[in-house]
Amino acid sequence: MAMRVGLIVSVAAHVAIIAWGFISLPWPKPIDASDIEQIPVDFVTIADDTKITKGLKTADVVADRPTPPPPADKAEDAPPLPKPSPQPDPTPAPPPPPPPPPDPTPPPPTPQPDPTPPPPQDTPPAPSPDATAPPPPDPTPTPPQPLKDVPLPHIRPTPPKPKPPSPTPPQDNTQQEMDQIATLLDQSKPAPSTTDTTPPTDDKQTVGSVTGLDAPTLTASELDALKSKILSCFHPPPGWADSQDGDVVLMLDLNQDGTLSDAPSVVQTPQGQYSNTATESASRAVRLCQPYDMLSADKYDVWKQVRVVFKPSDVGGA
Amino acid sequence: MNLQLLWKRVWIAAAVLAAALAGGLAGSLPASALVEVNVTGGKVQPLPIAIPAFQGAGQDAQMGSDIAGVISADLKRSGLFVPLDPSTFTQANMSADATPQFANWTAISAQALVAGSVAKQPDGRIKAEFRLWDTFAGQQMDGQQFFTQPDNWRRLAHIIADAVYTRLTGEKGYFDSRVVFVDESGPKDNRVRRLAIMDQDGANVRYLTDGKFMELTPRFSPSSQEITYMSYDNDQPRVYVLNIDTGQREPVGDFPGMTSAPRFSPDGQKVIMSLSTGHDTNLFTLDLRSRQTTRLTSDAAIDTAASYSPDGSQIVFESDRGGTTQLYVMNADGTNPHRITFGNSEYDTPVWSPRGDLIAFTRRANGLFAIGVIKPDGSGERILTEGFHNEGPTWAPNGRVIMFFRNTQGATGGPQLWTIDLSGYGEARLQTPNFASDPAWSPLLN
Repeated sequence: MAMRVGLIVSVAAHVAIIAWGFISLPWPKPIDASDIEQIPVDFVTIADDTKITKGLKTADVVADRPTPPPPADKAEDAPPLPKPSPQPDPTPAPPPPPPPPPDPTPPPPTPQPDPTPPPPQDTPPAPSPDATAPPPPDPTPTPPQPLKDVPLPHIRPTPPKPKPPSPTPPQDNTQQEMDQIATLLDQSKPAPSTTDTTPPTDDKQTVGSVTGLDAPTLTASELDALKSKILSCFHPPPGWADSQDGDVVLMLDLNQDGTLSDAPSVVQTPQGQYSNTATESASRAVRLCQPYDMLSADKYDVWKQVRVVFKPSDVGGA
Repeated sequence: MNLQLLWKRVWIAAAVLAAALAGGLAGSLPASALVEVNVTGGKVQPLPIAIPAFQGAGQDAQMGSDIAGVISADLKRSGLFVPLDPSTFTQANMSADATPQFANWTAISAQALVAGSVAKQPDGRIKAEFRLWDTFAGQQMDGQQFFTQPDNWRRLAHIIADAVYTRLTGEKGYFDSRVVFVDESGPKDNRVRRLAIMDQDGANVRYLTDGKFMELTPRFSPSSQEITYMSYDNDQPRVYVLNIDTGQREPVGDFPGMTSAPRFSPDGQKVIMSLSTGHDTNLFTLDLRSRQTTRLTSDAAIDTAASYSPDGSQIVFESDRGGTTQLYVMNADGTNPHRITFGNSEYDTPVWSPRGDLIAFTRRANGLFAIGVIKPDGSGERILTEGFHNEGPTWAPNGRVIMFFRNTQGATGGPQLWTIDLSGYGEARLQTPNFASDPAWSPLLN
């Protein structure tokens, strides 16, 4: 009986608490589902303003940046002096003339007596072509032997001959003396002016470099487009995929129109059987696929040099 | 030490640790954010190659054209090259000594160029020379010259094709080789089967037997001068060895039962074969010099189609000892046999690759016959082709290409020879005079 009373009290108390909750707690406000006028919006990025590239000494110099005015305490406009003679010329020296191409005509062979041929067989032969050097007149047939490593002298495209330096016009003696004097005057650097605020000559102002922090990069779509184009021209050696020879890594220097400005430089070659063929296939692919005109010219500083890694994984049949 | 001083030291230690971690991370960051592209997932595509006729004067011009034709056909059949149509060539008279105008060749998408010459010498021989050019790099990749008798022009072309194939793929060539096979002629219910030998491109077919008795499963010796095969001579099936040059043949051993499925050991000193006695078929070897026989298996099952690994240390064979026909590998002395294929499919005719890395097989499953490869440890199974009936794989000497025979359906159908690259690409039919089955590829001839 007492147990039944307790049950009744408990149920009544729970009902009371729930009822109190319904009465006292606020109902959530229904969501207003009325139509709202749609307003087109544009997402504006402030990345162009906030992403400031980090300057580097080695980056390109801003050519059209106005040079600061000369300091006020400079004595006077001196005639322009030639650069100090000890300074190395920043322009690269012309490459030394390549060695002359080998003579395309094969060297005269040294006559060697042929070994005596084996007894003739009337069975179906499988004679190998003779692997002798160019022909000594030999009436006796040379024995069958494998023919290999008889390289012809390579014919290489004749590189353009370096132009001889253009003759400098003769200068009059007065000008020559002036130059000598100027050279003597330029032996020592002038002491920096106390009011000169221009930076030292080797600290040229730059627009920053792609290697700086917060530099712009190619988007994933742009990278995919570049990869797809190279892939479409790539004919990898079929056995390379199953080998453990490793990757081919090339560095491409590109012009602004997407063409290669130079031959692709080989950074890494596979080790093993496919070292040459995989590297040559990769080089052919990047040459064949140019120009890479899908890359935006606005980002030329980003992609003017591209590192391409050719991996043997997942190479399969067509 | 009071509590405040202790906390101060803890904070200093934490700061030092954080600074060290930050310094380490900064040091590990790349120095530059260079654009990098990873090119993966490439497809094996045939390489466009230009092969103009070899230049020759007078009567040599025809030979020059023929040599270029054989080279083109070899490379095309490999499945890895697309010889370009000569009518698209804009630089005429390409000889071995001419410098290509590379723009003319890149304009037609030729990635490689083979330019050659052939000329008859005062001693009656011919001199053939060629240069292989990388047209996009503008560089010579290879250049060789050969002297031989005019009759050998075809083989000379195969050797040049091998050089080009090797230089551009990194694989050894295989065109200077032969194939022995079973020539099948006559109506389907009364076929005449005889042994024949030909160049790997189907040229120079020559019959080794007259077809009086049925001959099967020919296999080359390592020297390519002998073959071993099974013949139903006088209704007594047994294994023979035939010298290709002399035509001399002799039975291998004198066994009480039927011997079949022979194959030479890699050193050519032994022949391994199956001997059927009653319901059992087991593997034996016969030493060709001492005539000593050695039993390798002794099961109440069918063990057959044995093939040595290239180093001669192991043997792969098929056996139904487990209930279905599967592949097993054991040591050359018969010890440590273990199964390498499993599942509901059945596996036949295993052949160890000359490179030792793979075993080719025929797989039967769901009414279809497939040609595939598997590693000797049983991993990496890969099917190259599957269809109504494909059977009997044999490896090219470079371990890169597989030849097999494919049966066509219907009353007029029959077996034909096909080749396929290990990548599964480049399936090509080999023309033979009649139907052909059970091919076996020779080693390289030189």
